[in-house]
Amino acid sequence: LSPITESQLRVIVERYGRGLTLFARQWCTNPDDALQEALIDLVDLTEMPQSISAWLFKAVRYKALTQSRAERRRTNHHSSAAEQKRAWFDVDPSVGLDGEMVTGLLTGLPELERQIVTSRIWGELSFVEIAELVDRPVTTVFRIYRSTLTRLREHLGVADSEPDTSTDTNIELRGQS
Amino acid sequence: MIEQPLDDDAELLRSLKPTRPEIDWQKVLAKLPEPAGQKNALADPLGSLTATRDATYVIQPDLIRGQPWFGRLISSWWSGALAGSLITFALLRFLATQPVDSEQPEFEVAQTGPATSIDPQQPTDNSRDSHSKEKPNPTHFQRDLNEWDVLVDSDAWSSRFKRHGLGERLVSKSATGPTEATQTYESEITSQGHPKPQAELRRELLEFN
Repeated sequence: LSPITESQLRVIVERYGRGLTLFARQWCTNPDDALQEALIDLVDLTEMPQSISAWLFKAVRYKALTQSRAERRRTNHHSSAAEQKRAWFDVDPSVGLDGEMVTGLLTGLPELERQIVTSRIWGELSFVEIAELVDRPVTTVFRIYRSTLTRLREHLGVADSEPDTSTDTNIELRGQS
Repeated sequence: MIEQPLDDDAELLRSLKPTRPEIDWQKVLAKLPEPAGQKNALADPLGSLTATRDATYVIQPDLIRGQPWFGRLISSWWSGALAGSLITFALLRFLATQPVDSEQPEFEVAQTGPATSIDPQQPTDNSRDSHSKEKPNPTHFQRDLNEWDVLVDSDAWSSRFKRHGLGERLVSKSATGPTEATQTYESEITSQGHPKPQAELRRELLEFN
């Protein structure tokens, strides 16, 4: 029997669904399908992973890449082109950021940087979990995260100051050693 | 690992919400196994109930969470005014004392567990959709709850109840009927004091939420 229940699944999607969808969007045009397939795989597991969110990010990436390869094989790209026009973020006037601009900034990032930033900011993964996800040392992940955030800040027009992330990184790095 | 606050830049970016995914829940939930006996209960809830004194009852968290009385129980829990097991006991006693013919039940209880009155070969609708559409009449379950005992099982809340020992206690007293069983449990609670530390109960509630 699956060790996960319907209510737990819904809580997971409520909490991580948006971030997972954004993460999948990096590779495929139907991220909802990638997430859905990952959820089905999660239900099929006989034992729950230690971190369900980290497991889902890996699974969603795999599904998204698979979908991307299938999309490339298709001759008719009309539907894919239409999908690509879908917004990555909700439109919310109360937020002081333009979703389309941030989308443009994210799409302009190298894949590794984009994975790290999206999984950290919108996926709530720890640096240790991200390091495992992208198969890089934690220190490298943090360095990339920090430098990418600094570059993004320049484009976002945020006041120039060093991001204060030393505390949480130190804690995580200590935890890993 | 404890989640640390994000820095200001990340917080600003995070305020931008990615679009909500559209999940076909029917496809996802189709992979979840049906609780044992549920199909039979759907096919003939009254018939299966009258024949299954060993049945297990599942209190569905989504159904009871929105109820005002349950909210008050949780508030009491949070404030530390009541021990978790006493709340559990109060909840179960509340369920057991609901009037049989109530036309406007304040809660719903779904049945699962072994059902013996239905032919296993009998075709039943296995879809989750049909479950939500054909939810059994709670009054049938109330009647059965009044007749004997309650065992909570098979979900986050119910497993927590079970950990508090409630299910085992009540089911072990199934021969005595609900009144005697609950009175016995009440006296046990009184004599033993709070069986679970408040901090642990709060942590469990936090984890669930």
